[in-house]
Amino acid sequence: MIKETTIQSLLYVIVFAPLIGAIINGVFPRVLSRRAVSIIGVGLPAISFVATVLALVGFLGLRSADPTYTAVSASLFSWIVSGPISVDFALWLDPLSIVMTLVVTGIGSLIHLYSVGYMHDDPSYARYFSHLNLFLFSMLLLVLGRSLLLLFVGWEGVGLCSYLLIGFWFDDMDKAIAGKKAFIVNRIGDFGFLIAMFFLIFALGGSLDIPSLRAMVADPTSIFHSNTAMVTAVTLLLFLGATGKSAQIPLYIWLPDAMAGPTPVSALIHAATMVTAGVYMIARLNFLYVLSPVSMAVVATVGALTAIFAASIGLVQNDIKKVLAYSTVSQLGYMVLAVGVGAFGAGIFHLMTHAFFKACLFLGAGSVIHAMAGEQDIQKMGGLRKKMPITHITFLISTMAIAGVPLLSGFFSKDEILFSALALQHSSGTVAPWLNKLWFGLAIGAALMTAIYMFRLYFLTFSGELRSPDAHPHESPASMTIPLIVLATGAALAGYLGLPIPGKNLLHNWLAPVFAGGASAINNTGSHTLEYALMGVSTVVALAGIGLAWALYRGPWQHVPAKLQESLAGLYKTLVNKYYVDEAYNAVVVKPLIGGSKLLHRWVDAGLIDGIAVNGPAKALAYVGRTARRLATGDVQTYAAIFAIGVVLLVLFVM
Amino acid sequence: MSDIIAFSPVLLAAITGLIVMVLDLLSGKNTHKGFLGWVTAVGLLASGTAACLLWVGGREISLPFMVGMVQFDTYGAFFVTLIAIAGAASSLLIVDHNPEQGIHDGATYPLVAFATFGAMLFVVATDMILLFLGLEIMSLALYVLAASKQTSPFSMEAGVKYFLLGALASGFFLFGAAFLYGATGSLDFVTVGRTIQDAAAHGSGLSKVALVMIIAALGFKIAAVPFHFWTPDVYEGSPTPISAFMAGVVKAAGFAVLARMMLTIWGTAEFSSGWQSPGGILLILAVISMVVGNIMGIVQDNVKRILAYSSISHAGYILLGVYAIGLGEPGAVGISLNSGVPFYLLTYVLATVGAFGVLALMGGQGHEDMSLDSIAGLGKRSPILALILTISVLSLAGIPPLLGFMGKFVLFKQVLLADPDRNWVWVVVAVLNSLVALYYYLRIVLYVYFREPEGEAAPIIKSNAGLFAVSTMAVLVLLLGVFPGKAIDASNQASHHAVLSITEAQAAPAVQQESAPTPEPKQPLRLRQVDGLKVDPSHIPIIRRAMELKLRDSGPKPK
Amino acid sequence: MAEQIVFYILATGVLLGALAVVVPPFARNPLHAAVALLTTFSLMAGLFVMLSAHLLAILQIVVYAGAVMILFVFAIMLLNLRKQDFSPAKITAWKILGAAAAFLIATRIAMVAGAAVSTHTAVDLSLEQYSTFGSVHDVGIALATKYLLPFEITAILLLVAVIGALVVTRRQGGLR
Repeated sequence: MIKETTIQSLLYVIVFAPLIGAIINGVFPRVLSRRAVSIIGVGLPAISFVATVLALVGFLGLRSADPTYTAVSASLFSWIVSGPISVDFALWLDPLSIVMTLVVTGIGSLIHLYSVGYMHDDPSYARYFSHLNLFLFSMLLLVLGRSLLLLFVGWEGVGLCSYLLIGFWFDDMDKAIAGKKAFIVNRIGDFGFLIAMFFLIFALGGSLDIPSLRAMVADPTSIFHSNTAMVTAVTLLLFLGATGKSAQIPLYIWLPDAMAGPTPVSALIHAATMVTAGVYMIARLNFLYVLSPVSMAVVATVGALTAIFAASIGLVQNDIKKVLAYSTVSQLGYMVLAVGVGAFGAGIFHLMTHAFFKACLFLGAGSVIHAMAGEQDIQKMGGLRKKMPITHITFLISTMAIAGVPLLSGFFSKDEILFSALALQHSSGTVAPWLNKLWFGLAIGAALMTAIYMFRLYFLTFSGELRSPDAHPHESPASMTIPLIVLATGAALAGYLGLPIPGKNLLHNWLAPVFAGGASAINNTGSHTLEYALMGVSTVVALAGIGLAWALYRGPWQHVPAKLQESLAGLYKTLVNKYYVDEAYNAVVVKPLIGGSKLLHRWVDAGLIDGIAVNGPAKALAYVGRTARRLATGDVQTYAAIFAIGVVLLVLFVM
Repeated sequence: MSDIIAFSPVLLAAITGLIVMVLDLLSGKNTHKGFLGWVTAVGLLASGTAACLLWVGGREISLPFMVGMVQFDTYGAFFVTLIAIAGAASSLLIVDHNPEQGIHDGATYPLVAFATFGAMLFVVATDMILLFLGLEIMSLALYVLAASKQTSPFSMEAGVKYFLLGALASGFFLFGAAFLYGATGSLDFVTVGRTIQDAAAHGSGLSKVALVMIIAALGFKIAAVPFHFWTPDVYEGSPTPISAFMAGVVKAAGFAVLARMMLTIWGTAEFSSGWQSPGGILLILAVISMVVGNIMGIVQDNVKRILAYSSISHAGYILLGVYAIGLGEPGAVGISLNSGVPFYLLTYVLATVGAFGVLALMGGQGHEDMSLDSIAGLGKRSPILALILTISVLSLAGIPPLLGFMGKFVLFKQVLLADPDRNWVWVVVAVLNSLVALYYYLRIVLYVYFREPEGEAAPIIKSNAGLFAVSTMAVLVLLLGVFPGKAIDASNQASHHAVLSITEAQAAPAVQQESAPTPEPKQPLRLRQVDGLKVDPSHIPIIRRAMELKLRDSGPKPK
Repeated sequence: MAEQIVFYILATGVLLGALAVVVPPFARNPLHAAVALLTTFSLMAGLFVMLSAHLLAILQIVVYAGAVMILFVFAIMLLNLRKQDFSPAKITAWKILGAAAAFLIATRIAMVAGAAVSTHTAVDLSLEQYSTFGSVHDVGIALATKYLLPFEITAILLLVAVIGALVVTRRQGGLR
């Protein structure tokens, strides 16, 4: 029997173990041997994982003793006490955060282990582990933070670590710029998050402490129920944050570029954990979101659109990691759709299964890239089945899971989302029923595409003959294959935690207390017959997609893709260029901003100051003479004139 | 005697200057003058410590000195401490920077000490004449310091520019003070404030013009648009430790005075509500400063210029906070709990001094190239300096958990609290601005870590003193960011007492009527009612305590 | 009446003198500009006399018209600037705007100041209790009592100015 105080101590261990690892590896990178770096870098996340399991056991014990037991709270210190705001630095362990923490520390530890093999020859080995541990720390803060503010600190922290890790191989300028792009796009989302917090506090008088906020919202006479417009604003602004972090339309553009980082980083941050933060946040605030049917509908629509949009781009990509990146965007769309229709449990369920199979896929891709000596173009691969048996098997299992082959994890979770999209309706009745059909249609379309592009990837990579004669692929070392095997097992079996049998759905029962507030506002209009019928439909869709992929890339119609490319050149080009979204952003947002700034610079700065910075000290001597003249004829007098004009304008304004 | 004790922190700074001057004369002509930097730093820190002791010692919260000339309350103590820290850091930065740049001059240190003294005097003064003296002592010393690198035409140009424009600003200040005297017949804040509030009807036109002129003069010191043009040129041209001093100390002092004036002189409805009021123009200045500062920052290629524009945009954020101060009535709870401005200044000063400090430690042996290229690859050449620069810059950008984020959070929160219905627009504008600003802050980080230097990079100055100064700043930024509680408490207390001591003085009968048996009736306490704002029940005790404290403090004092 | 006539003569002189300092053709020659400044200072002293501020008037003559102007003239003669050392005077848009701004400020202030003054009742300086107004005695009392602190702190301002002058003018080396 583990006591509550013990769980509280365990919470600190969970969160701070990775931080200690980050500090040790960050401060003494040159002192420690590679071996020591590995032990610290992998060991502390593992400690964190073990502590999580112990906390889970303790939590189960407490819950069996008292069925109403909901959460463990551990407050470290009083963080901000300022006027009407007081925020504790407090951690919060409830069923939802347990699931998330298990995913983060479990998969995180495996990926750290994998990195030992993958990053073996990298000169900045210690820096890599330091950043990765720091990421884990931030992510755990995000997941376990009791207040929105602490969640936000984690939220920004993971963004920063992501920036550092995407740009890890910064010798390549493109990679550094990709990191910067990710950070800035994320900050646009964070802007929404920050404003939402202000609105929440001041317009709604809400608390940043999530349990208190929940208690406030539970009161039907509170302002949250009367001021729906403000609740909609807050939830949509928070959702803007989620679109940044979870790579949804319109802010998904950073994720494909983020693949510039090392592959384990892509697996951990840009597939399994960080990008799911938005979904987690919405699920965490389910009680707030259900108050605004408009927000819910927006969330669901954005999710569904993202799912199909990204899947369609994924169909034509040739970079193995880019395909997986668009696949991630698309799967995140599913999760967002799920929480948008009110199926919070299904969203978290898919989040969990996705973490397994997508991490496995990325690590498998890493293994392939490793074996192919850095080659990422799938058109140059092929026939790796025999050379890399373990990678091949695990990759196949995960591919089948994501495509929705029955009895694998992805089948159950995706199916539940499809069903929810069709069947769940907001109890207010303000959401038009045809929207449900639209969401379902988009989702099933995306499911078909998923099966096609994933198996296209699989066939081009593993079957057939190797298409680049110079490569000498080989199986990866054990430190890389063991995580693959573990993750593939998870990808196969994780679905059984959420079997679609009434009352036997372990995950739903487990999460029910967390989503009680949200669930009460959602009506289930579907029957179990419908659910089983949909299972049949999605099985057919998955198999059809796989069959099509086989036919097009392995089977009889191999000439068709090239023909399609020709006959549908316009569409193909649009897809390859990702619908020109990056270009559009460049033209609409980036260029005007920089252009305006330059214009201002030319008018005000360069026109008056004529750029000392540009000339530099080399011209200093020639400058001496000019300085005197400038002082007499231009600058200072102009500055003084502007000063005086400013005063006049202000005076006139006031009078 | 208690007068002297109350004034001792400020006096200590002046004494430091005198001691350093004498030590400079006593030490031989060819001795290394670096030790003077340490003496200056110790002296200034002693002054800061004295301020803290007076504060913590739990003596009276305000010690009026010399009949309304000086008000040394916790508000003053807060800023004196902050200014002392920044001044000490700057003097430590000079220790090795100057010899490397070919400035072998012991006179720099007394000037830094006197400039700090001027800034402190500026902060604690509550009389226009003393205020002006503080302003001039600070400015005069800085004109010379800006030009102290005589081998560099840039430095000379910076000094002359700063001097000419500074003289113009001082002129406006004097005009303003004179008109204010003409309108109210007094020079000390309290009487001026009371007269303006009693007789808002007559003479208010003149006092409005006067206030605008004072705002313009202070706007020059804090580098608010459109009084900012000197900033990039002067920050760039001056020796970098002096830029740090200007960006840190001068701005903190300027804002401290502006905020105090906001509370005492024009904290009335007529002078601060609406657009067309001296308070309202602060809003205009705030918004254009933010926008212009950030947009201009994007296209700069020189790190010092980037930081200069960053400081302009930060002036915008803080001005927004000052504007919010005026939205409430003086002494209303909404204001007295307003820690936003002091706290933000704390976060800004530490980070900006840290950032300029790192730049001051680069470019040894006379190199003075501060283009972005010159910091390329700093991450490899000096990981510790790179880390400090990154922490400082990210804090300025407002990335949690660094101090800058807390500053923005607290400040914007209080701007919103002052008037939720209208101010949300400005908060959104400010947050959007900080988003734009991220671009140029990240450019610095990008160059530090992700770029290789082209050609021979400037050597880094080996300086224990400087390293000590900047790493202290970075550690403070990091630690206070994670544990901001105490700092926020302190700023709360400071601004709270700034209000209390002023309202107390205003409520007290004027000096001539000291024998009058009954004091004038106090204004009843009001909690500003804000539509749609629900006070968290758990905070009611805090608010009530604040109100009680105020009630007790503003009651008649036993003689 | 006579007082008013004297005032307007003095005030016009002050303004014209000040303009002559900065506006060509006078300003083209530094010595001419200095003389114009001297005129302004002296006539200003006259204005002070009219306000019964006798001490101030004397100080104005002694310090400004005397000491400060002598320094100016010395500096000008030592520099020995000639016409070609000056860049040609150019009228730029900013200068015009700046001049307009200055003019606007001046008129605006004149208006509000006039409005403010009209509400005040003038003090009759012929009364007994004001007989010592503006005298050395009164100014001295004020400086040694109420304004003692600013008076003393001015010493530091002067000290800073001295150090500053040394730093700016002297070549590299110690403080001596």
